[in-house]
Amino acid sequence: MHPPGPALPISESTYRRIRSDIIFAELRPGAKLKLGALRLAYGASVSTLRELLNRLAAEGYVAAESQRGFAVAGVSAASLRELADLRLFLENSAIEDSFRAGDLEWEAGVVAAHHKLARAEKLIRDGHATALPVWKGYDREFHQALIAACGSQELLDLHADIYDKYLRYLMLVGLYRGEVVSREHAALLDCALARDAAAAQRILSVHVRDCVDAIVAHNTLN
Amino acid sequence: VTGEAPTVGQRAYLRIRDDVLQARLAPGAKLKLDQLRKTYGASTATLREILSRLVSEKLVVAEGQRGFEVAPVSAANLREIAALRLLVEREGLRLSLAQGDAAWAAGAEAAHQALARLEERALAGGTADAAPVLRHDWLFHRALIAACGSAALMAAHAAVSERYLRYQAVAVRAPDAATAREHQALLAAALARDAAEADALVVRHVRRGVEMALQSGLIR
Repeated sequence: MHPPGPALPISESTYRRIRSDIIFAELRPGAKLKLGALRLAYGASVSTLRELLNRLAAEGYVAAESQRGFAVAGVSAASLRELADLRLFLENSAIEDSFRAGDLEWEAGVVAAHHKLARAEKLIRDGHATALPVWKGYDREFHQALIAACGSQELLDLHADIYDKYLRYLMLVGLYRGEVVSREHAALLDCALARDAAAAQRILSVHVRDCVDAIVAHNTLN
Repeated sequence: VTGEAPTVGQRAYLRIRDDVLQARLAPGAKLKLDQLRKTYGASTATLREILSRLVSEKLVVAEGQRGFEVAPVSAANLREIAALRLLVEREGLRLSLAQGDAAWAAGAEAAHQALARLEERALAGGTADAAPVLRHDWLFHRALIAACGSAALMAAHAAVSERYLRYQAVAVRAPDAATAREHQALLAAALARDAAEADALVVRHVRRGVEMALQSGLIR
């Protein structure tokens, strides 16, 4: 979502680290965010942390509890379904534009992103559970590569924002649904190269809905 | 939120944000911390955090070592924002018209009534302040999609449609009778649950809004 740049101010780099720690579930839903502990963990001043937590609250990652300070925002099955529906809607719309407009560079980007994703999936199948965050990072890269040629940075940014909020649920459950997911990713790659947007949209709809059902069935929400 | 400092910060944040959205702070204007401190009464450290929050909302841009400025406007960005607003709003309308109950319909009617009154006054007087009209324009469109059933969609729509209305605040000076008629027609289609008609109307409405903003010559 943010382009890497040199010399980020401390507040910006701390903001990104905490945001990422929430998305990748290092900081669990409901966990208290105590300023003293955060200061030690992230090395930013209390006033910086306070403003940054307000910013994360505005984005929905943190709950500001009057009097009692801040906590990592809670999760619910209903909110997961909302995020999944919105992600699917935005991604399916962007797929149509991207598959129409994508050039050879775009195709190469999709192929490369899928290659990394497939390798990470094989690692997990071979029992390397630690590869999970890496795999999810590649999952995001692959889905973003599919829509990269849609022609609207605004749409890409909104999709990235919703995707990250959805990703938090995946990381919370830490779930790998097995080979079926790898087959769906491979099928999406084939659709991209064949420029078959309608087929890709059908596969993506199943992909996301099955994933939501698996997370909800996991029963760690609510 | 605890303590006094965040309250001051929160108030300054909302005021600066409003000033950007209503174009009292012009696109591209330099945001000097010393000046902001005097105008908004917040400390430099707080202002820096406020500005970085506005950067992530795309209302302000960070100019490397040279500080901050109000996000610039361009015809290309207006078209992208309008397209994204339409994408989200059409989906919201579709869901809302399918699910909206009597309370939703009453809310849409009330929002339209408030907007129509302001539009009439602006059309009669000519030079009225555009900000309240734009605010109620926004509230009316929000009311139409309010029964979509998704807080995530509502939040995405809020962010993109506010930035769309900043373009209207920058570019459109005179009240417009055709826009008021479009709002009236949109309400009628929504209340009749005519999803196809409402969809066609909102597409035409936003496209015409883009053309009007571009015809002003103030956005390149």
